[in-house]
Amino acid sequence: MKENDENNIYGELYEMLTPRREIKASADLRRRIADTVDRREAVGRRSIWFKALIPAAAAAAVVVLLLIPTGMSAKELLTSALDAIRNERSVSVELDVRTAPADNFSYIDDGLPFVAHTLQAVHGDSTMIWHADKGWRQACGNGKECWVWLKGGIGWRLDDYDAQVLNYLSIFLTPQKIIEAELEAALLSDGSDYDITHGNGEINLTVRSSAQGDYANPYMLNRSVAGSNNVRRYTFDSKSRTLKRASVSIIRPDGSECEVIRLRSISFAPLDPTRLCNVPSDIPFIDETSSRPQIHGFAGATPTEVAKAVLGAFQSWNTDIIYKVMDSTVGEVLYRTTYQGAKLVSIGEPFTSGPNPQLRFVPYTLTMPDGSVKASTLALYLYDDGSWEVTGGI
Amino acid sequence: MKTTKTRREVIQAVEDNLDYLVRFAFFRVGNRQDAEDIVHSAIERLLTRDKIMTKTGTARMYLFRTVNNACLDFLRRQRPTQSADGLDFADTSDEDADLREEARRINTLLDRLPGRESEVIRMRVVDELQFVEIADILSIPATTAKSRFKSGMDRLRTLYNRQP
Repeated sequence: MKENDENNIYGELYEMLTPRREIKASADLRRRIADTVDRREAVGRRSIWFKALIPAAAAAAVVVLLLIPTGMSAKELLTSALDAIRNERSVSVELDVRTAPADNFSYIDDGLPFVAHTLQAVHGDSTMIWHADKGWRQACGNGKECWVWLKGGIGWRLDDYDAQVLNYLSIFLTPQKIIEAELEAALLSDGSDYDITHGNGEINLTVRSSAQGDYANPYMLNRSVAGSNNVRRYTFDSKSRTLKRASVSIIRPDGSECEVIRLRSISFAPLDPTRLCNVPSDIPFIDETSSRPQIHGFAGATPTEVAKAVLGAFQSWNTDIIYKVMDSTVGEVLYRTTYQGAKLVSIGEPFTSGPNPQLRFVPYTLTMPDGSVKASTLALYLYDDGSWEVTGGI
Repeated sequence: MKTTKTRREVIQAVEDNLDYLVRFAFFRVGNRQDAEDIVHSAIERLLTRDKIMTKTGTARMYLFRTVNNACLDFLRRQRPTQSADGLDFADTSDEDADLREEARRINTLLDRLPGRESEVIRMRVVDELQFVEIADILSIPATTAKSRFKSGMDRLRTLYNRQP
């Protein structure tokens, strides 16, 4: 039976089975999808270092165009790049980062001491299994999902694309492609300058970037690599393309440099991929994947109104209010014991700062149950429908 | 042969096929809200991936496969021992009452068939999919899809002709 003949063959029966009413996607669904697309595009713009696994041909073309003037042979460069990628499936990297041991992997602070980080990855043909450890916070992923957890505390399960939760640090999981990734980022972003030199058997890459985002209020300035004026320096062996040295320094407002990330060691000894992503079974993991229902409320309210409502609800721990804008598991595990009974003293003026225009920061002061005073800044995420979610600052 | 697709091609495929995907899900789960939630979740998961690897090289079929699997998962969670052919549709709003009735009418006809045959017929007639597309979604050869369609329709015609 040829396709499209069945209508003739089965005639009336075919007609009986054909729907007589059209169903189309509702306006609400179209809006939800547009919102999802917009958020994904925004993540892509922020996370330029997520593109570590860019196509080899495109990457090589970028590098060739930029390195030929230095006299380096294109064939030599491409051959060494392919060899490096083929031979080095496993990587273990030791880094020192000025940060807090329990904070996000993206968080840097020039006022804090160095914290040791270990990053490991095993690259398959189309996936990467990886693990990151900064002491009190660990994470691992398999290309589909990733898990982030605090030692002895709580965890989050998220979608995994190129270890995006590691933000800038993910670049070290694929050190063979740092050159291509950094040059692509420099070409795509504004305000980045790069310099490449070679000699003594080494390639030196220096990238200078301006902080991405709005820093009229400098609250978030220099708290991440993307959100800092910084200099990134890399040294590679010119034949093997092996990364030998790496460092990131932020440029303070007074013009001085402060090294915030430095490479201590790198190894390509084979790793067992089955042992890289062992998620602890005794920690509750909150679903933060794209498929989970979003928790946000108070549509149409101002950030001040939301902050007053949520922080004011701490005294009685009014869950009807607090868990409108916060995951209840997060609230129960991380915050309730500490904050139940706290009284709101004052709320400051909200402001924006940093690369994410959807974030609003609201300063506040609480009198804690033990009588001490806590001053901090609440972070609220604004959804396109005007509703809010508490994303940090407690 | 595997083909790499960019996220933007997936987004275009979503725009081109969104109505079809909603219809596909609706005639399986019987409720517009559930159908749209399924479609939205499936699209959201796909948009988290920068590269889509498909055997046939079409983002459209990747979407249909994903929504089909999501519908099956939904039905298993809702009524683990009941197939799509025997659905007792949940109440929907008045706005969708005609659609619900239409779905009930079609599924009553298909209820008489084995699931393997009714699903192919539903995809061919209701969803207007080609046999190669049906084969892709169900992971069967196209010839098997055609065979199941023909045997199912012949069975229906026999049953229909017996009615007074």
